[in-house]
Amino acid sequence: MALTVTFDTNTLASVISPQAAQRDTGMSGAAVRTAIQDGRILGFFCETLVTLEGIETKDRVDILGNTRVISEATSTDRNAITLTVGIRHHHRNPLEPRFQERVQGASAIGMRALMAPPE
Amino acid sequence: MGLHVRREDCLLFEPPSGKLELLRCMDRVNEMATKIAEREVGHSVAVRLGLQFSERAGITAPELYLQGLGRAQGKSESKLVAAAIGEWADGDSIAAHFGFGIDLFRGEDYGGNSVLSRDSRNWLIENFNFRFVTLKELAEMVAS
Repeated sequence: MALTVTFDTNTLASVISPQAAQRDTGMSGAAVRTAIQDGRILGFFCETLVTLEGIETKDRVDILGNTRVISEATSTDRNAITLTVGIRHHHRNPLEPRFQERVQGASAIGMRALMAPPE
Repeated sequence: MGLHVRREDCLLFEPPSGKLELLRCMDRVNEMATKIAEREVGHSVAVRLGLQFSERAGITAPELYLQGLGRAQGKSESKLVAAAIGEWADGDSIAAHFGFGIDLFRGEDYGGNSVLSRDSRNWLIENFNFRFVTLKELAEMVAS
């Protein structure tokens, strides 16, 4: 039965790109990466790695400060109304290319995101 | 009122047994998030900072703590916000890990007032059977 492992932001890179890590870390990272690829490890990371840590450090104050509650009402027939309430980051840029590469790299070897608490 | 990843960015894990199991997992995620907040680490660091900045600005109308974070002044406060976001993400990782019943957590010890400090890790180990591993230990486990 496969081991299930959660990786935090700072440790994910050493598994996704072990070749870019220091020698010892790189060797361990490569072994773990292979184990994820062949299914001996099921690897996970929390989705906030993308939704929050995907915001570049220099942009965090601006983007989070411009977060607003949004609501939307729709109706599909006379007796049905759907209300949707959520939050939206305004002025948010697409993920920084190197960060996006890391997230896509994680998905490509079979890692999956875990849903975060709805704070 | 959550913010979730877009499908084009990455895929969210869905338990094999379906939606009811997902709901059970999310109950446990929320339970752990609450316990982390009670220790005043994780997400609560960002909330505290945002409210503090709103109060300093004399805001009397209700506003999100996130808007308060936007009132940070100067580089040192921007750094505080950036660090609080990192701590928030770490807290969410711990909550999600617990909620979905994952075996091992691979994360560094960040010291200070953090959900991944030595104290917090001991609390997680003693009370919730967390198992932390280093990358080297994980590599050895899969090699044996």
